[in-house]
Amino acid sequence: MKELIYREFYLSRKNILITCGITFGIYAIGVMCALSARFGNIARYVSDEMTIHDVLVTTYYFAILSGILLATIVECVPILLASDFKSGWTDYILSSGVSVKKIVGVKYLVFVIILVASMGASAIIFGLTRLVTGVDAEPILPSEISFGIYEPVIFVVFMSVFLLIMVSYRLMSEFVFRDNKSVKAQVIQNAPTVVGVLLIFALFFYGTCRYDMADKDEIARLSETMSKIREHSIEVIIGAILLGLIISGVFYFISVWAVRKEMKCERKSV
Amino acid sequence: MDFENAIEIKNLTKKYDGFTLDNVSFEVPKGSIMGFIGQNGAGKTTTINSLLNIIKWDSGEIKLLGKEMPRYENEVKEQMAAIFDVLPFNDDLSAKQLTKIMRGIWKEWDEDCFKNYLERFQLPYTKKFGQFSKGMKMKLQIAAGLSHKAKLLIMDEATTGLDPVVRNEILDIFLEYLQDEDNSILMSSHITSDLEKVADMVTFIDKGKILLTGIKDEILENHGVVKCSKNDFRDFEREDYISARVTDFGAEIMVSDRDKTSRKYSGAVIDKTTLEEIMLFYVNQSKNQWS
Repeated sequence: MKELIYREFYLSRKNILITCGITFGIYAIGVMCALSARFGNIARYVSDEMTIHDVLVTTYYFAILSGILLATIVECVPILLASDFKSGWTDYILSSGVSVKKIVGVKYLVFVIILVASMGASAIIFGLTRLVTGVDAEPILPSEISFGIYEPVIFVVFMSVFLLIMVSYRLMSEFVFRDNKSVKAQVIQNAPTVVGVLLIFALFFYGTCRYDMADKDEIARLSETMSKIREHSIEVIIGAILLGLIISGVFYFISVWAVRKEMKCERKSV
Repeated sequence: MDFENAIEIKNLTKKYDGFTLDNVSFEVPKGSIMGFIGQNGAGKTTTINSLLNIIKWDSGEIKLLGKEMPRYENEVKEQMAAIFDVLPFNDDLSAKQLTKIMRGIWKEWDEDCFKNYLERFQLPYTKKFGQFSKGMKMKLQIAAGLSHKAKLLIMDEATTGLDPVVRNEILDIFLEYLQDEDNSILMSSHITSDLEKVADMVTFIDKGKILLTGIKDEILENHGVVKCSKNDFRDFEREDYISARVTDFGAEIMVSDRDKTSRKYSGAVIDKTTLEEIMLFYVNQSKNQWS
């Protein structure tokens, strides 16, 4: 198993290193701005406290962008799987004694490892940002519905769950369609990701517009609902992670079934 | 090893849209090389993928190394090696990385044996496979196949596209591999000259059906080509020949029993034939005559 995991990381290393390099570059700009605002030229020549505070808070946007970039590393797993089908590696390994569960499992395991590592790195980046800037992240959401300083954590968790579901789906569809380049296969493979991203943006803009147009009573009701959710933040986070893992597990079993479908059904392990 | 046949296929059937592998049956005795001959699209790869259990077959029985498939699949596959026409290892890998990966795939992986083969085939240990020539890539696959104590090699068009020097080198390796009488090879190819050199047995397949299977020397001994004029060809009864190629210059008639033909058509000159000619005449046997 560990040898197959080694293969996945070895072949994805260029993608991982390039993305990490770009992330480092972008985050370094943010950190330099923050350091300048605290100890450098900005601190020396700008006397307005608010401006300095804004510069320090901007570093969090660099941190968010870095987190998003790191999260995109998971895409290397379905990309490598597609290339495995094309190169004939999947046929080769199926012709060996390695079980289908292991062949499929390695892909999902590597994906989860990369996801956890990238989300962990995002968390470290947020912690580092707090250390460098010395200020808390300003909530993106309006104060009535905000999660306060926990907003970045909520953001990281929900992005992880979204990626867990979407990339698991990508992996499953690669196993189902193999090297199928038909328009139908392409649409089924990519449509949920596109729809998912669009849905998130649509919900965000709809929420913003609704909030802007809402009257005082409506905001009060919303604020009450949010405070109830805030009380159960831990349960919400755990529930979201569990949901992501369950859906991902279902996609794993469908993948195993899809690979076996092309093979004899009466399979017996010896 | 208490089995007679390394491969036993009975009535293997697999239906695709527009193609059917139709009741394919043949055997590869232990210790022999079976040449699996057919034109492109004849059903060679479908048969091999069924053997490897990469595709699901509709009906039939397959036994490999004396064990029923897919019941003992994992156990059997440990003792087999599949060699494909293209290198299945990523171009970004080198032999150094490959040996690490193979340790996780094959229980019997022998790193020293692999290194010996690399040295013998003059394959670099640290160079990426993307920089290998086609011949080097094929040698690499063979080295990997022989380094986990495989008892059965299954090759799909392994020598296609290689230059004659490399092909000969590879054929020599196969003959050496067969020095151990427990080892067997199934080698699909449409390059019949290679099979003529090394195969003990041959099976011809066309349009998903087995046309002929048996010991190569017997097939070559029994088959022959009668070269005669168009007028003489008219005297031949249809059941006495496989098919005939008729041109303005005369007729070439493929017969499957030279002795019988020489007795029945005294005076007919029967030349020896090749596997390629046999394949051509069998593929065209549905036609009474062709040009």
